[in-house]
Amino acid sequence: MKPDDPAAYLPLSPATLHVLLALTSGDLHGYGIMLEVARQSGDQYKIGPGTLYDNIKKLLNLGLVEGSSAKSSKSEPRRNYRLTQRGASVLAAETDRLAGVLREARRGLRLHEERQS
Amino acid sequence: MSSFRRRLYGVIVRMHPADFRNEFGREMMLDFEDALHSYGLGRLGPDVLWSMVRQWSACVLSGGPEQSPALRPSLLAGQYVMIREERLTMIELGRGLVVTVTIFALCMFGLGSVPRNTSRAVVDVPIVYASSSTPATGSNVDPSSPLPAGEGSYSDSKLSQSAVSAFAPIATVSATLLSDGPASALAFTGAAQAQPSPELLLFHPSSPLPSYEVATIKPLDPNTADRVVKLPPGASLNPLSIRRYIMDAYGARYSAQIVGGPDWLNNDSYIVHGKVPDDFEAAPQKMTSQDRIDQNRGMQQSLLAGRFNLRAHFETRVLPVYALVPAKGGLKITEVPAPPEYKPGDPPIRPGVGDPLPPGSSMGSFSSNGLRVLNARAIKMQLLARIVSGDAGDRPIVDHTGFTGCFDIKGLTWAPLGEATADNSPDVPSLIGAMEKTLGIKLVPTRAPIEVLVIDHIEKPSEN
Repeated sequence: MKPDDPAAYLPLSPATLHVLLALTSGDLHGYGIMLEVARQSGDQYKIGPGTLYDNIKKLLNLGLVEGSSAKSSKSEPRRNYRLTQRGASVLAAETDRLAGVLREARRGLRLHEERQS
Repeated sequence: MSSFRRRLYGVIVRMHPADFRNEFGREMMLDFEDALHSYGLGRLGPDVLWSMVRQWSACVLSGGPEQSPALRPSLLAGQYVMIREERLTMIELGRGLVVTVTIFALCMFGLGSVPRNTSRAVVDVPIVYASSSTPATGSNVDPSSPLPAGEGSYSDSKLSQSAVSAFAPIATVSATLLSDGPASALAFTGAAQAQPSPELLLFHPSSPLPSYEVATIKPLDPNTADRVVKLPPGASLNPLSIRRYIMDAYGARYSAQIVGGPDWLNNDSYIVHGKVPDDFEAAPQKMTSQDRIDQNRGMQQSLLAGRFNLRAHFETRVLPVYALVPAKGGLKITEVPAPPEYKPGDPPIRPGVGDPLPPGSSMGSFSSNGLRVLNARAIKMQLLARIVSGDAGDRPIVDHTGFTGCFDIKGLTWAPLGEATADNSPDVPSLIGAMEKTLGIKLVPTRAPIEVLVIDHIEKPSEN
Protein backbone atom coordinates (compact mmCIF):
# COMPACT_ATOMS: atom_id res chain seq x y z
CA MET A 1 0.00 0.00 0.00
CA LYS A 2 1.48 3.31 -1.04
CA PRO A 3 -0.90 6.13 -0.15
CA ASP A 4 -0.36 9.31 -2.13
CA ASP A 5 -0.91 11.59 0.83
CA PRO A 6 2.43 12.02 2.69
CA ALA A 7 0.50 12.72 5.89
CA ALA A 8 -0.66 9.09 5.87
CA TYR A 9 2.87 8.02 6.88
CA LEU A 10 3.10 10.36 9.85
CA PRO A 11 4.30 10.49 12.53
CA LEU A 12 7.67 8.95 11.68
CA SER A 13 9.66 7.07 14.29
CA PRO A 14 12.95 8.77 15.31
CA ALA A 15 15.01 6.16 13.43
CA THR A 16 12.96 6.53 10.24
CA LEU A 17 13.17 10.30 10.45
CA HIS A 18 16.94 10.22 10.90
CA VAL A 19 17.46 7.75 8.05
CA LEU A 20 15.43 9.90 5.66
CA LEU A 21 17.22 12.99 6.90
CA ALA A 22 20.63 11.37 6.38
CA LEU A 23 19.74 10.58 2.77
CA THR A 24 19.07 14.23 2.01
CA SER A 25 22.86 14.70 1.93
CA GLY A 26 23.12 12.33 -1.04
CA ASP A 27 23.24 8.65 -1.89
CA LEU A 28 24.72 6.68 0.99
CA HIS A 29 25.39 3.05 1.81
CA GLY A 30 24.37 1.62 5.17
CA TYR A 31 27.46 2.58 7.12
CA GLY A 32 27.41 6.02 5.51
CA ILE A 33 23.85 6.46 6.80
CA MET A 34 24.95 5.40 10.30
CA LEU A 35 27.77 7.96 10.25
CA GLU A 36 25.55 10.69 8.85
CA VAL A 37 22.86 10.06 11.48
CA ALA A 38 25.50 10.32 14.22
CA ARG A 39 26.90 13.48 12.67
CA GLN A 40 23.53 15.18 12.21
CA SER A 41 22.55 14.47 15.79
CA GLY A 42 25.89 15.55 17.24
CA ASP A 43 26.54 11.95 18.34
CA GLN A 44 23.44 12.01 20.55
CA TYR A 45 21.57 9.47 18.45
CA LYS A 46 23.25 6.46 16.88
CA ILE A 47 21.64 3.55 15.11
CA GLY A 48 23.14 0.11 14.61
CA PRO A 49 22.87 -2.06 11.49
CA GLY A 50 19.86 -3.95 12.90
CA THR A 51 17.75 -0.85 13.41
CA LEU A 52 19.04 0.62 10.17
CA TYR A 53 18.04 -2.28 7.93
CA ASP A 54 14.71 -2.77 9.72
CA ASN A 55 13.93 0.76 8.65
CA ILE A 56 15.52 0.46 5.21
CA LYS A 57 13.37 -2.58 4.50
CA LYS A 58 10.25 -0.71 5.57
CA LEU A 59 11.20 2.37 3.55
CA LEU A 60 12.01 0.30 0.45
CA ASN A 61 8.61 -1.40 0.67
CA LEU A 62 6.87 1.96 1.01
CA GLY A 63 8.85 3.42 -1.89
CA LEU A 64 10.32 6.20 0.24
CA VAL A 65 13.88 5.17 -0.59
CA GLU A 66 15.38 3.10 -3.36
CA GLY A 67 18.51 0.97 -3.53
CA SER A 68 21.17 1.19 -6.23
CA SER A 69 20.58 -2.44 -7.26
CA ALA A 70 18.18 -5.23 -6.36
CA LYS A 71 20.63 -7.02 -4.12
CA SER A 72 24.21 -6.68 -2.92
CA SER A 73 26.71 -8.90 -4.67
CA LYS A 74 30.34 -9.88 -4.22
CA SER A 75 31.56 -7.35 -6.76
CA GLU A 76 29.24 -4.66 -5.36
CA PRO A 77 28.90 -5.67 -1.72
CA ARG A 78 27.08 -2.55 -0.67
CA ARG A 79 24.05 -0.86 -2.08
CA ASN A 80 23.69 2.87 -2.04
CA TYR A 81 20.32 4.13 -0.94
CA ARG A 82 18.60 7.18 -2.36
CA LEU A 83 15.69 9.30 -1.18
CA THR A 84 12.78 9.11 -3.64
CA GLN A 85 10.44 11.96 -4.48
CA ARG A 86 7.80 10.35 -2.28
CA GLY A 87 10.35 10.03 0.55
CA ALA A 88 11.23 13.71 0.25
CA SER A 89 7.54 14.64 0.41
CA VAL A 90 7.03 12.54 3.53
CA LEU A 91 10.11 14.07 5.15
CA ALA A 92 8.84 17.55 4.32
CA ALA A 93 5.45 16.72 5.82
CA GLU A 94 7.09 15.36 8.97
CA THR A 95 9.24 18.48 9.22
CA ASP A 96 6.12 20.65 9.01
CA ARG A 97 4.46 18.53 11.66
CA LEU A 98 7.47 18.79 13.97
CA ALA A 99 7.66 22.54 13.36
CA GLY A 100 4.03 22.78 14.52
CA VAL A 101 4.85 20.72 17.61
CA LEU A 102 7.82 22.96 18.36
CA ARG A 103 5.76 26.09 17.92
CA GLU A 104 3.09 24.74 20.23
CA ALA A 105 5.69 23.61 22.78
CA ARG A 106 7.32 27.04 22.86
CA ARG A 107 3.98 28.77 23.26
CA GLY A 108 2.97 26.39 26.03
CA LEU A 109 6.24 26.87 27.88
CA ARG A 110 5.98 30.64 27.58
CA LEU A 111 2.46 30.61 29.02
CA HIS A 112 3.60 28.28 31.77
CA GLU A 113 6.44 30.62 32.71
CA GLU A 114 4.08 33.60 32.69
CA ARG A 115 1.70 31.79 35.03
CA GLN A 116 4.58 30.89 37.32
CA SER A 117 5.75 34.48 37.53
CA MET B 1 38.64 -11.54 20.07
CA SER B 2 37.13 -9.40 17.33
CA SER B 3 36.96 -12.54 15.20
CA PHE B 4 34.82 -14.17 17.89
CA ARG B 5 32.56 -11.10 18.07
CA ARG B 6 32.20 -11.11 14.30
CA ARG B 7 31.22 -14.76 14.28
CA LEU B 8 28.77 -14.23 17.11
CA TYR B 9 27.19 -11.33 15.25
CA GLY B 10 27.11 -13.43 12.06
CA VAL B 11 25.26 -16.21 13.88
CA ILE B 12 22.60 -13.75 15.07
CA VAL B 13 22.28 -12.29 11.58
CA ARG B 14 21.75 -15.80 10.23
CA MET B 15 18.96 -16.30 12.75
CA HIS B 16 16.92 -13.54 11.10
CA PRO B 17 14.09 -14.57 8.75
CA ALA B 18 15.41 -15.84 5.43
CA ASP B 19 14.11 -13.03 3.26
CA PHE B 20 15.58 -10.33 5.49
CA ARG B 21 18.87 -12.12 5.97
CA ASN B 22 19.31 -12.81 2.27
CA GLU B 23 18.62 -9.22 1.38
CA PHE B 24 20.51 -7.37 4.09
CA GLY B 25 22.75 -9.91 5.86
CA ARG B 26 25.89 -9.16 3.90
CA GLU B 27 25.52 -5.40 4.33
CA MET B 28 24.83 -5.83 8.05
CA MET B 29 28.06 -7.78 8.46
CA LEU B 30 30.07 -5.13 6.58
CA ASP B 31 28.51 -2.34 8.62
CA PHE B 32 29.15 -4.29 11.81
CA GLU B 33 32.86 -4.58 10.97
CA ASP B 34 33.07 -0.87 10.30
CA ALA B 35 31.13 0.15 13.38
CA LEU B 36 32.52 -2.35 15.89
CA HIS B 37 35.42 -0.19 16.94
CA SER B 38 33.45 2.98 17.54
CA TYR B 39 30.09 1.53 18.66
CA GLY B 40 31.24 -1.57 20.54
CA LEU B 41 29.48 -4.90 20.90
CA GLY B 42 27.53 -3.55 23.87
CA ARG B 43 25.55 -1.34 21.50
CA LEU B 44 25.56 -3.48 18.35
CA GLY B 45 24.64 -6.75 20.12
CA PRO B 46 21.30 -5.63 21.58
CA ASP B 47 20.60 -3.80 18.33
CA VAL B 48 20.85 -6.93 16.18
CA LEU B 49 18.98 -9.05 18.76
CA TRP B 50 16.15 -6.55 18.84
CA SER B 51 16.15 -6.45 15.05
CA MET B 52 15.80 -10.25 14.98
CA VAL B 53 12.82 -10.10 17.35
CA ARG B 54 11.16 -7.39 15.25
CA GLN B 55 11.70 -9.24 11.98
CA TRP B 56 10.38 -12.55 13.29
CA SER B 57 7.41 -10.75 14.84
CA ALA B 58 6.67 -9.10 11.51
CA CYS B 59 7.15 -12.43 9.75
CA VAL B 60 4.75 -14.26 12.09
CA LEU B 61 2.17 -11.49 12.09
CA SER B 62 2.20 -11.21 8.31
CA GLY B 63 1.80 -14.97 7.95
CA GLY B 64 5.20 -15.93 6.58
CA PRO B 65 8.02 -14.62 4.45
CA GLU B 66 7.14 -12.27 1.66
CA GLN B 67 6.77 -13.86 -1.71
CA SER B 68 9.51 -12.43 -3.85
CA PRO B 69 10.71 -14.67 -6.65
CA ALA B 70 13.57 -12.32 -7.51
CA LEU B 71 15.06 -12.69 -4.05
CA ARG B 72 14.63 -16.39 -3.75
CA PRO B 73 17.43 -17.94 -1.63
CA SER B 74 19.43 -20.80 -3.02
CA LEU B 75 20.51 -23.76 -0.97
CA LEU B 76 23.42 -24.32 -3.32
CA ALA B 77 24.75 -20.85 -2.66
CA GLY B 78 25.03 -21.72 1.00
CA GLN B 79 22.08 -19.56 1.94
CA TYR B 80 19.53 -20.07 4.61
CA VAL B 81 16.45 -21.71 3.07
CA MET B 82 13.04 -22.29 4.59
CA ILE B 83 12.26 -25.96 3.99
CA ARG B 84 8.56 -25.19 3.80
CA GLU B 85 9.10 -23.22 0.63
CA GLU B 86 7.43 -25.11 -2.12
CA ARG B 87 9.62 -23.80 -4.90
CA LEU B 88 12.54 -26.11 -4.07
CA THR B 89 12.75 -28.73 -6.78
CA MET B 90 13.63 -32.37 -6.26
CA ILE B 91 16.88 -31.86 -8.17
CA GLU B 92 17.84 -29.00 -5.90
CA LEU B 93 17.01 -30.98 -2.80
CA GLY B 94 18.98 -33.97 -4.13
CA ARG B 95 22.04 -31.89 -4.90
CA GLY B 96 21.77 -30.24 -1.51
CA LEU B 97 21.68 -33.64 0.14
CA VAL B 98 24.81 -34.76 -1.73
CA VAL B 99 26.68 -31.61 -0.75
CA THR B 100 25.61 -31.89 2.88
CA VAL B 101 26.64 -35.53 3.20
CA THR B 102 29.97 -34.83 1.48
CA ILE B 103 30.74 -31.89 3.75
CA PHE B 104 29.79 -33.89 6.82
CA ALA B 105 32.05 -36.79 5.78
CA LEU B 106 34.93 -34.45 5.04
CA CYS B 107 34.46 -32.74 8.39
CA MET B 108 34.90 -36.06 10.12
CA PHE B 109 37.91 -36.87 7.93
CA GLY B 110 39.42 -33.40 8.35
CA LEU B 111 39.12 -33.33 12.13
CA GLY B 112 40.64 -36.76 12.46
CA SER B 113 43.54 -36.73 10.04
CA VAL B 114 44.66 -33.27 8.96
CA PRO B 115 47.82 -32.20 10.79
CA ARG B 116 47.47 -28.91 12.62
CA ASN B 117 50.60 -27.38 11.13
CA THR B 118 49.35 -27.44 7.55
CA SER B 119 49.83 -24.11 5.85
CA ARG B 120 46.68 -24.16 3.71
CA ALA B 121 44.58 -21.43 5.18
CA VAL B 122 41.50 -20.92 3.05
CA VAL B 123 38.86 -19.00 4.90
CA ASP B 124 39.24 -16.34 7.53
CA VAL B 125 37.99 -12.83 7.91
CA PRO B 126 39.88 -10.60 8.13
CA ILE B 127 42.40 -12.30 5.88
CA VAL B 128 45.72 -12.40 7.70
CA TYR B 129 49.11 -12.77 6.10
CA ALA B 130 52.29 -13.20 8.08
CA SER B 131 54.69 -10.41 7.23
CA SER B 132 58.01 -11.26 5.73
CA SER B 133 59.53 -8.96 8.28
CA THR B 134 58.31 -11.02 11.20
CA PRO B 135 61.34 -11.56 13.45
CA ALA B 136 62.97 -14.93 13.91
CA THR B 137 61.96 -17.39 16.59
CA GLY B 138 62.45 -16.65 20.26
CA SER B 139 65.78 -18.37 20.76
CA ASN B 140 67.48 -16.15 18.20
CA VAL B 141 65.99 -12.88 19.29
CA ASP B 142 68.23 -9.93 19.80
CA PRO B 143 67.49 -8.76 23.34
CA SER B 144 67.63 -5.16 22.22
CA SER B 145 64.95 -5.72 19.61
CA PRO B 146 61.46 -4.59 20.56
CA LEU B 147 59.98 -7.36 18.44
CA PRO B 148 60.96 -10.79 19.76
CA ALA B 149 58.71 -13.46 18.32
CA GLY B 150 57.23 -14.54 21.62
CA GLU B 151 57.09 -18.33 21.48
CA GLY B 152 53.82 -19.73 22.67
CA SER B 153 52.30 -16.30 23.05
CA TYR B 154 48.68 -15.76 22.19
CA SER B 155 47.78 -14.35 18.82
CA ASP B 156 44.33 -14.06 17.27
CA SER B 157 45.70 -14.77 13.85
CA LYS B 158 47.71 -17.82 14.86
CA LEU B 159 44.68 -19.30 16.55
CA SER B 160 42.37 -18.58 13.67
CA GLN B 161 44.82 -19.82 11.07
CA SER B 162 45.46 -23.08 12.84
CA ALA B 163 41.75 -23.56 13.34
CA VAL B 164 40.83 -22.92 9.74
CA SER B 165 43.74 -24.92 8.39
CA ALA B 166 42.10 -28.12 9.57
CA PHE B 167 39.09 -27.25 7.43
CA ALA B 168 41.07 -26.23 4.36
CA PRO B 169 40.40 -29.43 2.39
CA ILE B 170 36.72 -29.24 3.25
CA ALA B 171 36.43 -25.67 2.10
CA THR B 172 38.29 -26.46 -1.10
CA VAL B 173 36.11 -29.43 -1.96
CA SER B 174 32.97 -27.55 -0.95
CA ALA B 175 33.99 -24.71 -3.20
CA THR B 176 34.48 -27.21 -6.00
CA LEU B 177 31.03 -28.68 -5.50
CA LEU B 178 29.29 -25.38 -5.12
CA SER B 179 31.00 -23.58 -7.96
CA ASP B 180 31.34 -24.14 -11.67
CA GLY B 181 34.30 -26.47 -11.48
CA PRO B 182 37.61 -27.40 -9.91
CA ALA B 183 39.43 -24.51 -11.55
CA SER B 184 37.56 -21.92 -9.56
CA ALA B 185 38.18 -23.85 -6.35
CA LEU B 186 41.91 -23.85 -7.04
CA ALA B 187 41.81 -20.16 -7.80
CA PHE B 188 39.99 -19.61 -4.52
CA THR B 189 42.70 -21.42 -2.54
CA GLY B 190 45.49 -19.75 -4.46
CA ALA B 191 44.03 -16.32 -3.86
CA ALA B 192 43.96 -16.94 -0.14
CA GLN B 193 47.60 -17.95 -0.10
CA ALA B 194 48.99 -15.11 -2.22
CA GLN B 195 50.34 -12.35 -0.01
CA PRO B 196 49.47 -8.88 -1.27
CA SER B 197 51.78 -6.02 -0.54
CA PRO B 198 50.30 -3.74 2.12
CA GLU B 199 49.07 -0.34 1.01
CA LEU B 200 49.84 1.28 4.36
CA LEU B 201 53.14 0.44 5.99
CA LEU B 202 54.35 0.78 9.54
CA PHE B 203 57.80 2.01 10.52
CA HIS B 204 60.17 -0.94 10.79
CA PRO B 205 63.01 -0.66 13.26
CA SER B 206 66.60 -0.90 12.11
CA SER B 207 69.10 -2.33 14.49
CA PRO B 208 70.72 -1.21 16.66
CA LEU B 209 67.91 0.95 17.98
CA PRO B 210 68.84 4.35 19.36
CA SER B 211 67.85 4.94 22.97
CA TYR B 212 66.93 7.93 25.08
CA GLU B 213 69.66 8.95 27.48
CA VAL B 214 67.14 8.88 30.30
CA ALA B 215 63.36 8.50 30.24
CA THR B 216 60.62 9.16 32.78
CA ILE B 217 57.21 7.53 32.63
CA LYS B 218 54.67 9.14 34.90
CA PRO B 219 51.19 7.62 35.26
CA LEU B 220 48.45 10.22 35.53
CA ASP B 221 45.72 9.98 38.13
CA PRO B 222 42.43 9.37 36.22
CA ASN B 223 40.87 12.50 37.75
CA THR B 224 43.87 14.60 36.69
CA ALA B 225 43.90 12.94 33.27
CA ASP B 226 40.28 13.93 32.70
CA ARG B 227 41.28 17.54 33.16
CA VAL B 228 44.44 17.28 31.06
CA VAL B 229 43.00 15.25 28.19
CA LYS B 230 40.23 16.72 26.13
CA LEU B 231 39.34 14.50 23.21
CA PRO B 232 38.68 16.32 19.96
CA PRO B 233 35.23 15.82 18.38
CA GLY B 234 34.86 12.35 16.90
CA ALA B 235 38.03 11.02 18.56
CA SER B 236 37.81 7.99 20.78
CA LEU B 237 41.43 7.21 21.64
CA ASN B 238 43.02 8.88 24.65
CA PRO B 239 46.03 10.83 23.28
CA LEU B 240 48.01 10.09 26.46
CA SER B 241 47.37 6.34 26.24
CA ILE B 242 50.15 3.88 25.57
CA ARG B 243 48.30 2.62 22.48
CA ARG B 244 48.68 6.11 21.10
CA TYR B 245 52.38 6.06 22.03
CA ILE B 246 52.81 2.71 20.24
CA MET B 247 51.06 4.19 17.21
CA ASP B 248 53.57 7.06 17.19
CA ALA B 249 56.52 4.70 17.66
CA TYR B 250 55.51 2.53 14.71
CA GLY B 251 54.19 5.28 12.45
CA ALA B 252 50.60 4.01 12.60
CA ARG B 253 47.99 6.58 11.63
CA TYR B 254 45.00 4.47 12.67
CA SER B 255 44.37 2.59 15.88
CA ALA B 256 43.22 -0.36 13.77
CA GLN B 257 46.89 -0.82 12.84
CA ILE B 258 47.74 -1.75 16.44
CA VAL B 259 46.04 -5.04 17.27
CA GLY B 260 45.52 -6.69 20.66
CA GLY B 261 46.83 -5.73 24.07
CA PRO B 262 45.10 -5.21 27.42
CA ASP B 263 42.47 -2.55 28.14
CA TRP B 264 44.86 -0.35 30.12
CA LEU B 265 46.65 0.42 26.85
CA ASN B 266 43.62 2.53 25.92
CA ASN B 267 42.42 3.71 29.31
CA ASP B 268 45.47 4.62 31.40
CA SER B 269 47.17 7.95 30.82
CA TYR B 270 50.93 8.46 31.03
CA ILE B 271 53.31 11.34 30.58
CA VAL B 272 56.34 9.86 28.83
CA HIS B 273 59.42 12.01 28.45
CA GLY B 274 62.78 10.93 27.06
CA LYS B 275 65.99 12.93 26.91
CA VAL B 276 67.69 12.69 23.54
CA PRO B 277 71.45 12.05 23.81
CA ASP B 278 73.64 15.11 23.27
CA ASP B 279 75.32 13.73 20.13
CA PHE B 280 71.88 13.19 18.58
CA GLU B 281 70.91 16.75 19.47
CA ALA B 282 73.77 18.01 17.31
CA ALA B 283 73.03 15.67 14.42
CA PRO B 284 69.66 17.05 13.21
CA GLN B 285 71.37 19.74 11.13
CA LYS B 286 72.59 16.95 8.85
CA MET B 287 69.27 15.12 8.73
CA THR B 288 66.01 15.55 6.88
CA SER B 289 62.83 15.96 8.88
CA GLN B 290 61.88 12.36 8.01
CA ASP B 291 65.23 11.13 9.36
CA ARG B 292 64.60 12.95 12.61
CA ILE B 293 61.11 11.46 12.89
CA ASP B 294 62.50 7.96 12.26
CA GLN B 295 65.24 8.46 14.84
CA ASN B 296 62.68 9.50 17.44
CA ARG B 297 60.49 6.51 16.56
CA GLY B 298 63.47 4.22 17.09
CA MET B 299 64.01 5.65 20.57
CA GLN B 300 60.31 5.27 21.36
CA GLN B 301 60.41 1.63 20.26
CA SER B 302 63.49 1.06 22.39
CA LEU B 303 61.69 2.52 25.41
CA LEU B 304 58.62 0.34 24.77
CA ALA B 305 60.80 -2.77 24.62
CA GLY B 306 62.83 -1.88 27.72
CA ARG B 307 60.29 -0.35 30.08
CA PHE B 308 57.03 -1.94 28.92
CA ASN B 309 58.54 -5.28 27.86
CA LEU B 310 56.62 -5.01 24.59
CA ARG B 311 56.72 -8.06 22.33
CA ALA B 312 54.89 -7.86 19.04
CA HIS B 313 55.05 -8.91 15.41
CA PHE B 314 54.02 -7.47 12.06
CA GLU B 315 51.24 -8.89 9.92
CA THR B 316 49.39 -7.87 6.79
CA ARG B 317 45.62 -7.94 7.16
CA VAL B 318 42.87 -7.09 4.73
CA LEU B 319 40.86 -4.43 6.55
CA PRO B 320 37.95 -2.11 5.73
CA VAL B 321 39.29 1.12 4.27
CA TYR B 322 38.14 4.10 2.28
CA ALA B 323 39.74 4.38 -1.14
CA LEU B 324 40.28 7.70 -2.88
CA VAL B 325 39.07 7.28 -6.47
CA PRO B 326 38.21 9.78 -9.22
CA ALA B 327 34.52 10.75 -9.24
CA LYS B 328 32.40 10.20 -12.33
CA GLY B 329 32.41 13.87 -13.26
CA GLY B 330 36.21 13.92 -13.46
CA LEU B 331 38.87 15.63 -11.43
CA LYS B 332 38.06 19.25 -10.54
CA ILE B 333 41.60 20.25 -9.57
CA THR B 334 44.55 20.64 -11.91
CA GLU B 335 48.01 19.21 -11.57
CA VAL B 336 50.79 21.60 -10.61
CA PRO B 337 54.61 21.24 -10.65
CA ALA B 338 56.10 19.20 -7.82
CA PRO B 339 57.72 21.17 -4.99
CA PRO B 340 61.53 21.28 -4.80
CA GLU B 341 63.05 18.43 -2.84
CA TYR B 342 64.01 19.25 0.73
CA LYS B 343 67.66 18.48 1.45
CA PRO B 344 69.41 17.94 4.78
CA GLY B 345 70.65 21.27 6.13
CA ASP B 346 68.07 23.34 4.24
CA PRO B 347 66.60 26.01 6.53
CA PRO B 348 63.06 25.20 7.69
CA ILE B 349 60.32 27.01 5.77
CA ARG B 350 58.24 29.13 8.12
CA PRO B 351 55.81 31.36 6.21
CA GLY B 352 54.69 34.51 7.97
CA VAL B 353 51.11 35.61 8.52
CA GLY B 354 49.50 36.35 5.18
CA ASP B 355 52.27 34.71 3.15
CA PRO B 356 51.19 32.17 0.52
CA LEU B 357 51.55 28.53 1.48
CA PRO B 358 54.93 27.10 0.48
CA PRO B 359 54.78 24.29 -2.13
CA GLY B 360 54.26 20.84 -0.62
CA SER B 361 52.48 22.15 2.48
CA SER B 362 48.92 22.31 3.73
CA MET B 363 47.00 24.33 6.28
CA GLY B 364 43.86 23.18 8.05
CA SER B 365 41.69 25.60 9.98
CA PHE B 366 38.20 26.02 11.36
CA SER B 367 35.73 28.51 9.96
CA SER B 368 33.68 30.77 12.22
CA ASN B 369 30.78 28.32 12.11
CA GLY B 370 32.87 25.35 13.19
CA LEU B 371 33.52 23.82 9.78
CA ARG B 372 36.87 22.45 8.78
CA VAL B 373 38.67 24.22 5.94
CA LEU B 374 41.67 22.82 4.10
CA ASN B 375 44.03 24.69 1.81
CA ALA B 376 47.09 23.02 0.36
CA ARG B 377 49.68 23.70 -2.30
CA ALA B 378 51.35 21.10 -4.51
CA ILE B 379 50.54 18.06 -2.40
CA LYS B 380 50.19 14.46 -3.51
CA MET B 381 47.09 12.33 -3.15
CA GLN B 382 48.72 10.18 -0.45
CA LEU B 383 49.25 13.27 1.68
CA LEU B 384 45.66 14.37 1.11
CA ALA B 385 44.50 10.94 2.31
CA ARG B 386 46.54 11.37 5.49
CA ILE B 387 45.29 14.91 6.12
CA VAL B 388 41.58 14.09 5.89
CA SER B 389 41.90 10.72 7.62
CA GLY B 390 40.82 12.15 10.99
CA ASP B 391 37.34 12.92 9.69
CA ALA B 392 36.61 9.57 8.09
CA GLY B 393 36.35 7.66 11.37
CA ASP B 394 38.96 5.12 12.32
CA ARG B 395 39.02 3.66 8.86
CA PRO B 396 42.26 3.99 6.90
CA ILE B 397 42.21 5.96 3.68
CA VAL B 398 44.27 4.65 0.79
CA ASP B 399 44.99 6.30 -2.53
CA HIS B 400 43.50 4.47 -5.52
CA THR B 401 43.28 7.50 -7.80
CA GLY B 402 46.33 6.59 -9.84
CA PHE B 403 47.34 10.27 -9.86
CA THR B 404 51.04 10.57 -9.13
CA GLY B 405 51.35 14.34 -9.54
CA CYS B 406 50.83 17.23 -7.14
CA PHE B 407 47.70 19.32 -6.77
CA ASP B 408 46.55 22.58 -5.18
CA ILE B 409 43.51 22.44 -2.91
CA LYS B 410 41.56 25.59 -2.19
CA GLY B 411 38.84 25.92 0.41
CA LEU B 412 37.82 22.30 0.87
CA THR B 413 35.12 22.73 3.57
CA TRP B 414 33.29 20.06 5.49
CA ALA B 415 31.56 19.40 8.79
CA PRO B 416 33.82 17.61 11.30
CA LEU B 417 32.95 14.03 12.12
CA GLY B 418 30.82 13.63 15.21
CA GLU B 419 30.22 17.34 15.67
CA ALA B 420 27.02 19.17 14.84
CA THR B 421 27.67 22.29 12.85
CA ALA B 422 27.15 25.56 14.58
CA ASP B 423 24.57 26.81 12.10
CA ASN B 424 22.99 23.38 11.42
CA SER B 425 22.91 24.31 7.77
CA PRO B 426 21.73 21.52 5.48
CA ASP B 427 24.01 22.89 2.74
CA VAL B 428 27.19 21.90 4.54
CA PRO B 429 28.48 18.64 3.10
CA SER B 430 30.14 15.81 4.93
CA LEU B 431 33.76 15.08 4.07
CA ILE B 432 32.69 12.55 1.43
CA GLY B 433 30.32 15.02 -0.21
CA ALA B 434 32.78 17.90 -0.03
CA MET B 435 35.58 15.93 -1.67
CA GLU B 436 33.37 14.89 -4.54
CA LYS B 437 31.93 18.35 -5.03
CA THR B 438 35.13 20.39 -4.64
CA LEU B 439 37.87 18.02 -5.81
CA GLY B 440 36.09 15.49 -8.00
CA ILE B 441 37.36 12.67 -5.81
CA LYS B 442 35.23 10.05 -4.13
CA LEU B 443 35.81 8.15 -0.92
CA VAL B 444 34.66 4.61 -1.62
CA PRO B 445 34.39 2.00 1.14
CA THR B 446 36.35 -1.12 0.26
CA ARG B 447 38.93 -3.47 1.75
CA ALA B 448 42.70 -3.36 1.30
CA PRO B 449 45.80 -5.04 2.73
CA ILE B 450 47.18 -2.98 5.61
CA GLU B 451 50.24 -3.70 7.70
CA VAL B 452 49.40 -4.06 11.39
CA LEU B 453 51.38 -4.59 14.57
CA VAL B 454 50.02 -7.43 16.71
CA ILE B 455 50.85 -7.09 20.39
CA ASP B 456 51.86 -10.44 21.86
CA HIS B 457 52.86 -9.19 25.29
CA ILE B 458 53.11 -5.91 27.17
CA GLU B 459 53.44 -5.03 30.84
CA LYS B 460 52.73 -1.91 32.82
CA PRO B 461 55.92 0.17 32.98
CA SER B 462 58.55 -0.29 35.63
CA GLU B 463 58.94 2.44 38.24
CA ASN B 464 61.34 5.26 37.43
